[in-house]
Amino acid sequence: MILNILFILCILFSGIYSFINFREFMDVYEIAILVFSVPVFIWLGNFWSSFRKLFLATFVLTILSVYIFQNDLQMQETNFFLKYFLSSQSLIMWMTFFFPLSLASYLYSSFKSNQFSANLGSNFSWIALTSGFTGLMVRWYESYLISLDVGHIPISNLYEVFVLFCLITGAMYLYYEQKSQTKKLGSFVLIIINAAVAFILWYTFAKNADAIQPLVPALQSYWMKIHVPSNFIGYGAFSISAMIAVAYLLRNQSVVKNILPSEYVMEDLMYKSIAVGFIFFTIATILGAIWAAEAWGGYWSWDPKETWALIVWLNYAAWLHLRLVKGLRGDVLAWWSVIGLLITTFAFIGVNLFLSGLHSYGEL
Amino acid sequence: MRFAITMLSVVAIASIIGTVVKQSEPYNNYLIQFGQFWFPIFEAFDVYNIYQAFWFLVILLFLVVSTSLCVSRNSPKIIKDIRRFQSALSHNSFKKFKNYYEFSSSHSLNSISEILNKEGFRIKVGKDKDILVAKKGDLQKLGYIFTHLAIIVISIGGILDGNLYFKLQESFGFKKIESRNLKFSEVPGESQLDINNFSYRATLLLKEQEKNDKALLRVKDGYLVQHLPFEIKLDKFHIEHYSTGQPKAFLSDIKIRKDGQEFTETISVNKPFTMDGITIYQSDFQDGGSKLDLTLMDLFNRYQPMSLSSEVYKENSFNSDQKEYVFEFDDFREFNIFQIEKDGKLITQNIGPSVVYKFRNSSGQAVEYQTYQNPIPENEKFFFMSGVREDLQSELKFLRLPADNDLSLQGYQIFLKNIRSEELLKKNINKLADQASSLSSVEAKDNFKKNTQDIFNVYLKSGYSGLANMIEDSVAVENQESVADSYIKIIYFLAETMNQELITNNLVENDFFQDALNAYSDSFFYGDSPFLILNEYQKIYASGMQLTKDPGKIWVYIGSLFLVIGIFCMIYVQEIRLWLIKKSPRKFAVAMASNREHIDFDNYCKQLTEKFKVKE
Repeated sequence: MILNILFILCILFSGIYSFINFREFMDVYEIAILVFSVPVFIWLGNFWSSFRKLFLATFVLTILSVYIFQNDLQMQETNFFLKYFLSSQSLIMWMTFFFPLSLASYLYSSFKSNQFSANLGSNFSWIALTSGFTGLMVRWYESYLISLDVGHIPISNLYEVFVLFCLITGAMYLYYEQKSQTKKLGSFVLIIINAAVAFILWYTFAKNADAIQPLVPALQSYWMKIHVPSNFIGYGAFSISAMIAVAYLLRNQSVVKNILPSEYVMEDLMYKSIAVGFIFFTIATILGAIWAAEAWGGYWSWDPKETWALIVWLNYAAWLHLRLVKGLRGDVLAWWSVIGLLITTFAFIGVNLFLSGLHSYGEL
Repeated sequence: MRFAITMLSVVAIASIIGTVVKQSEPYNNYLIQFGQFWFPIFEAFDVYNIYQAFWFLVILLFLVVSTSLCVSRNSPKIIKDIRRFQSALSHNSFKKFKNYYEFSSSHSLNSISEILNKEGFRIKVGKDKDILVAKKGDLQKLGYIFTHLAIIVISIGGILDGNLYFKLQESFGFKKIESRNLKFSEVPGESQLDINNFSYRATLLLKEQEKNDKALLRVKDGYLVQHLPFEIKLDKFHIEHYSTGQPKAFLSDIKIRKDGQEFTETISVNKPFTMDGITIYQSDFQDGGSKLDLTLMDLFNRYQPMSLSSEVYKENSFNSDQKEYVFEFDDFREFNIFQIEKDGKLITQNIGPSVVYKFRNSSGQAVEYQTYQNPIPENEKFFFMSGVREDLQSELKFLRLPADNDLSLQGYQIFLKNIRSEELLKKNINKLADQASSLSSVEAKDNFKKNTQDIFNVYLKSGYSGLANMIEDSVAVENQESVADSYIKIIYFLAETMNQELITNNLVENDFFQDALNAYSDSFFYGDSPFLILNEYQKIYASGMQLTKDPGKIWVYIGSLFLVIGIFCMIYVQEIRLWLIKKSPRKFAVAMASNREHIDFDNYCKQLTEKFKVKE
């Protein structure tokens, strides 16, 4: 109860504080997004009570970091706490530390049937989420410290959206974990999150991709704030579904037979995550089309990214059609969901790697 | 249905091909890419413009029609289902349902109805008064209609924004694609589209101060001219930069003139302007014929520096060594943003303007150059840089002329003049010979002088590579390195003494000569072009705008809204049918069924039954 009140107060405070202090830097759409996000966050906390804790922890840590920074970017080099804990770079590194730890705990618990280790797995994931979300918040703040005109929401390049992907996928998984009351799927879902973590590490150390870059003109739009996150809710959900599908397909193998939840639960989760992913992916694609109409002069240009988004959409539309209308269940859909992830991955990264087009913000 | 799925797969595969084969390129590129044999085959299938291909549109149209048929066939049934209650099953038949419960409760049938009402059920009480049927979640079925209608509406919107206006006129032979390179005014009427064209995406490239009331519509390997209901004039194009030099905004100040009225607007990326249903976008930019004031400097000082005034896109003929050449100025870039190393850190910086040009000889062969105006820092020194390449595929190779202490090329020019002065060379070789105490006899002295002069002249004629050849031809292998060493020392010594005036006038530091000698030696690989010194310039931009008329857009958006609502209904609205019977005063039986049964549904049924049991 106290937690709930605190949660709502913090959201209201953030909203009102931002509105009063940063109003002049926002256009009317951004103000609308700000105002709209207040009830959305309150609803989210209501819908999933653990979100409140995540929000409050992120809130406190972010405030603390901003307080230590004292509006001086140099502080991240000199201040001990910023350098090792509370600057965005180190927070994101902590995230990349705790996700593998979480996977290891889940794996251990699966094979040793150790409940303590399973709880540890969840807790490590929660810590990873908290540091990752705080990392993005602080990164947002740091970008404004570089220069007022450089500042922007940190979802604008491949590095940042990979962090976002880890966080969204992790959060959605933890929600399903609580909802379905089984921690047995952690060993599977955390694999894909850790694949993204590995990419982030490679990208950071081999390519120095973690530097904050100013936005190219095409990305300077309030649309980014809604198009990108909804896309990644879609990607995250599809990934979770595919990983559960892998578990589902392995259910009769003797090695993993005893460490999986019931077939019924897995089937249900597979459907649920595709369903929520599909809705968000649909919204994201539509928002993308509206943005494209404003930035590129046409809502649909058959740009490779657009075309692949359409293919992903058709793929999952067919999946849902088969399940909902034709009543199909079982292995076929599981395989389909795994292949769906391959298509989604190509739409997400492959297009940037192999095809050229208007959507070239995430080049390697 | 099977056929529809096949067609949908064809669309998906065609779309994938369209992402792999770059669309709407000049047809020549495809010819090079695919070769003589495949090019016409792919062309026949419209692979180069697959999304506008006739067969692609026909399949899309078929899918729209088949979806429409599907909706029109199923909708009446669905609507009937929504309006009607399910038939009242007998206890014996609903007993077999998965979610069947028997419970005892002090509720009356009426108060159970109330509970169901609160839960959003619609209720019908049977004739026997102890049987009750209820249902909820009809929206789920509406979701089916919504999504399918949405797809039809979106498709129609999309088709409306295709180039139907032209396609229809083309198929009747009224209009034709133009592929010759003509001025707008010379394009024949059959390739011009009037302002009644209801949808298009045309482009318009305007230089600063230029205006036009026609735009270009690219179609396949040619184009059409699209008449606009107004005239657009580009006043000015500008780029705003971040402090690092990266571009922050591209803006065009335009004037739109219509019926004697004039509107002034600024458009930029993400901020288009709409008038008369036509939206004007900032899409790209290029040079609009910048004015350049240049000095041409011969790298071997064979002639005095000359001045040249030119413009981008202009050609200037040029004579050197009795050969004729042409300068073709292709581009002038005011900003060149590079990552350079500074204090051990990579930073992004603007290194200033550059000119891109081709230097073509009389037989038509051209070499491309890119010359930077400002000296570029490197290891705490500064160099004037110019890149050269003989074909567009290869990387630029850079010639680096060292800047003097005033950051100008004057020091290098004096250096060039001095080392090529025979008189100075002779004087300094004599001085060198006189100083060398080991040369006792006159003969030895003359020999030394002659050798030294030869070495220096080989360098002057062909640089270090000439010396290397000479050493390879005349010196034993084991001595080559030491000989090369001494030759380089001699050349360095002579170059330094011949250029004492540069040091005494404080124009260069001592380390200048090594760089200058390297630069001179590299000049032999620079080609025939003189080195360009850009004195002054006036940047003139051309702005590329896109003009879009898309009346179908609104339908696409409306359709999209319905699509989201429809999907939401289909997935998240739970359709439930419920049968309840009062078997005896306190004994009930209830069964629930849904077309989508899963864990949440089972849980809900359990919870609902619990509610029936409790007396409030």
